[in-house]
Amino acid sequence: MTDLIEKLEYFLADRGIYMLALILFAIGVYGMIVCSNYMKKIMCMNMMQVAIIFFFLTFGQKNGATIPVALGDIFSADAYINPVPHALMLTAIVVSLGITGVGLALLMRIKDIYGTIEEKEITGKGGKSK
Amino acid sequence: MIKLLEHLPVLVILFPLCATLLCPLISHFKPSFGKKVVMTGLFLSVVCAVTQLWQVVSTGEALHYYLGGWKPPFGIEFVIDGLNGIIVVLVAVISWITSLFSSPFEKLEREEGNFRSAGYYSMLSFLALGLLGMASTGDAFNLYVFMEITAISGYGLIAIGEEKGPIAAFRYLLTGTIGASMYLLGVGFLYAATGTLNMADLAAAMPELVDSPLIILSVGCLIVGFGIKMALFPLHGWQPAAHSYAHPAADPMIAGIMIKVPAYAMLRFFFCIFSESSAVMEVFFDAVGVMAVFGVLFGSLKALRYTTYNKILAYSSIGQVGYIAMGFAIGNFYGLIGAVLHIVSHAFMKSGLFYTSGALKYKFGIHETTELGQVYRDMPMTGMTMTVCALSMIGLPPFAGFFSKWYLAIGAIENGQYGFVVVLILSSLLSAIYFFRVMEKLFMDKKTASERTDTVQPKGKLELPWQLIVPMIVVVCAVILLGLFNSYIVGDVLEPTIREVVLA
Amino acid sequence: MEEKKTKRKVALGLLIVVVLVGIGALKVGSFLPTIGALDTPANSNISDYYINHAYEDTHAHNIVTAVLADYRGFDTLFETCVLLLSGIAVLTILSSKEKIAQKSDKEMIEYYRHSTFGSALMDGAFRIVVPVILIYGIYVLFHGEISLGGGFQAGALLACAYLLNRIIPKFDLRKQKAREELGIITAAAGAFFYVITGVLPMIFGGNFLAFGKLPFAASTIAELHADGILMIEIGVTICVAGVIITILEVVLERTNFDD
Repeated sequence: MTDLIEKLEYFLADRGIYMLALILFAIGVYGMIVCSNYMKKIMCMNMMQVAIIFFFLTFGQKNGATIPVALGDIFSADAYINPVPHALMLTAIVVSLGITGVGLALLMRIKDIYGTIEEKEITGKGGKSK
Repeated sequence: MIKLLEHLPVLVILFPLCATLLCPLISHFKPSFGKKVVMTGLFLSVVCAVTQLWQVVSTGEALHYYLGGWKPPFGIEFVIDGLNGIIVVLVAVISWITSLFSSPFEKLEREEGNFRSAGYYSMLSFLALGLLGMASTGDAFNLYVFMEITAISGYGLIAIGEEKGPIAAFRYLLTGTIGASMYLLGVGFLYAATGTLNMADLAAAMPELVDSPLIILSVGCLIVGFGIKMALFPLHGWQPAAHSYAHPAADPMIAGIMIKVPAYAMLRFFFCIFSESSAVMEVFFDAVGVMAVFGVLFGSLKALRYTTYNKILAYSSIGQVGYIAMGFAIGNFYGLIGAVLHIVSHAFMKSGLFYTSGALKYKFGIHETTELGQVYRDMPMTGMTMTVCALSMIGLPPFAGFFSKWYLAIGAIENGQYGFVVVLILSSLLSAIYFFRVMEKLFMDKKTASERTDTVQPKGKLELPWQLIVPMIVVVCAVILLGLFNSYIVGDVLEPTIREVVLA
Repeated sequence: MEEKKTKRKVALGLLIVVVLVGIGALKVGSFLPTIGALDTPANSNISDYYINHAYEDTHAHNIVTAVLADYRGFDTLFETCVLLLSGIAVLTILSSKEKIAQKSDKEMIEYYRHSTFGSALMDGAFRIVVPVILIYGIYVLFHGEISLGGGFQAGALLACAYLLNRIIPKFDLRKQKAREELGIITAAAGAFFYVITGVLPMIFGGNFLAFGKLPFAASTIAELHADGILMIEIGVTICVAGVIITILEVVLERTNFDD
C-alpha cells in the first residue's frame, strides 16, 4: 500500500500535476457547454481559468528552491523558484476577476429582463431569434 | 523636453489611455465634455499612427520601443513595421470616426442614466486602445492582456445595446473567455518549450524545435483561440448575435475591427514565429483552409436566409473572415498580401455598412431590410455609402474589395489550389445575391414605412447630424482610394515587410 | 424521470471527458519538462537573469514584485486598466436597472436587533477590526517590495475595511455612503497616477515607465526604480480599492435582500 502511494506521489511530482491541471481545464470547458444554468456556466469558467493558473505555476517549480524573495545570503539562481509564471499569473488572476465581475453584472441584467437565468427558459421565451 | 518622435509607438496608446482615465472625472462635472476629451485623444492617436507609419515606410526599418527601458527578452517591446503600421492606422482611424459617429447617440445615452454616457465613451476608448495594443505589441503575454481589454470593453458595449444585448454579451463572454484561455494555454506551451515570451526571441528559438510536440500543441491551441476571437467558421457561434444586438453606435467598431486584429495576430504568430515550414504546419494550414472554405460558403448561404439588415451583415462577416483565413492557408506572397489587404478593406467596408445601419436606426428605427423602400430619397448619403460598400463587398473592380480577392486568386492559382478559386467566385456570386436583394429593396421597392412620411426633410438641412455624415464620407473615400491606389500600398508598404519579415 | 436521465447523461459525458483528456494529458505531460527540474528552458532562460539582477536593478527583494512592477510594468498598467474597465462596465450595464429603496438606518437597527447578524457584539468587533485591517492594508502596500504583498492585495484589504464599515448599522445615524460614481472616479485617478509615473521619465529623457529617469533625488538608479515601484503600487492600490467599492455599492443598491 505504501509502495503504491509512494509511486503515486512520485508520478504526481514528476509530471502528474500537468495531467490534473489539463483535466480540470477540460472539466471546466465541458461544464460550460453542458450546464444550462448561467451561474453554473460562470463557475465552470472560473474553474477553467484556475486550471490555467495551476498549469503555469507548475512550470516555475524548482526542486529544493524557496520563494522568490531575495535574501541577503543566498545568491544562487537555483535557490529561488521561477518568478516569471508567478508574475504572469497575478495578471491572469486579476483579469479573470474582472471578467467574472462583468459576467455577474450581465447575469443581474438578464435576471432583470427575463426573470430567470436558466438557458432553456430564456431561449423558450423567444430569446433565440430566427 | 520630450522628443515626441522617439516615443511614437507608445504615444499612439498613451493619448487614448489618458483620455479614458480622465473621461469619468470630466463627465462628472460637465457631462458633454467627456466625449470631447475621448475624441481628442483618439484624434491625436490617429496623427501619431500616421506619422509612425510614414516613418517606417520612409526609413524602411522597423521601429522598436522598449517599455520601461529594459532590453527585449527581459522587458516588453513594441515593434512597428509596415504590416502592423497599417493595421494601427486602420484601427486608429476607424476608432476616431466611430467616436465621432457616437456623438448623437451619446445624447440619448445621457438622458437614460447618470453614468451611461461617460461609461460608453470610456469603453469605446478602451476598445480602441486594446486593439491598438494588440496590433503593436511584440510580447506574447502582453497580447493576452490587450486581448482581454478588447474583450471586456466589447462585452460592455454589446450589453448596453439593444434589448437582447445582455444575453448576446453573456454568450460572447463565455465563448470569448474560452478563446482567451486557449490562447493563454498555447502561450504556456510555448513558454515551457522556449522559456521566453518575446515574439522575436520565440521566432529565434523555433528552428531547433521544429516538430517538437509542444509546439504542435501550442499551434493547435492558438488556432482555436484566435479562431474564436476572429469568428472563424466552426467557432463563430457568438458572432451573429453579438454583432446584431450591439450598441448601434459602437457596432461599426465591433463588427469592423474587433475580429480583424485577432486575424492579424494569427498571421504574426503563424508566419513570423512558426515560419519554419514542416509537415505538421502544413497539416494545420490545410485545416485552416478547410475551415475557411466552409466558413465562406456557410456565411454567404446563411446571410441569404435573413431579412434583418444587421444579421445579413453579421453572417457576411463570417464569410469575409473566411477569405482572410484562406489567405493564410494559401500562405505564399500573394496569398498573404490578399489576406492583409482584405483585413484593411473589409474593415472599412463592414464598418461603412454598419454606419448606415446605425444611421437608419437613429433616424427611422429601421432594423429590417423590408422597411428600406426608397430610403435613399430621404437619406442620399446613407444610400450612397451602402451602395459603394456593398459593391465593394461583392468585389466589383474599382473598389477595394476587388483587389484583395484578386490577390487571393493569384496566390491560389500560383499554388495550384484551384478549389479556393472556385470558392472565391462562388461566394462572390452569393454575396452579389444577398447584397443586390438589399439594394433592390433600397432603390426599387415602394415606399414602405408609413411613419416616415410625416418626418419630411426640411430643405437645406442635412439628412442627419454632421457627426453621422463625416464617418460615412471617410469610409467611402477610403474604399475608393484603397481601390485606386492599391498598387502603391502593396508596392511601397506591404511588399517590403512581407518579403523581409514574414517570408524571410 | 426525464431529469434523472439527463443528469445521468451529463455524468457519463463527464466521465468520458475526464478519461479521454486524462489519457491525452498523460501523453502531453510526457512532452512537458519534469516538474521541479532546474535546467528546463522555462526555468533557466530569462528567469535566471531576473533572479540574479532584480535586486541590483530595482532594489526590490521580492523578485515577483520586481518582474511585475518594473520589468513587465506595462502589463501591470493594463492589468489595472482591466480592473477599472470591469468597474466601468458593471456600472454602465447596471445603470439602467432600478435602485431598490434602502432601508433607513432606524429600520436597519430594528432589523438587526431581531437577527443574530449585526448584534451589538458583532458591531463592536467590527469596530475594532476595521482600523486594524486598514493598517494592515497600508503595511501590505509598503511592504510589497520587501516581502510578500503589493498593490492589488492592499487595495482589496482597504476595500474590505470599507465593506465591514458599510455593513455595521450606524447607531449615530450619520450617512457614510460613498457615491458609486465617485468610486470609479477615484479608481481612474489611481490608474492616472500610474500613467503619470510612467510619463515623468519620458519628460526627462527615458522611455515610458523607465523609472531610472525619474526626477527624484536618489544616490543610485536602483533606488529610483524602488521609488517608481512604490509610486505605481500606490496608484494600483487606489484603483483596486475604488473599483471594488464601486462594484459593491452598485450591487448592494440594486439587490433586494429580503427575498
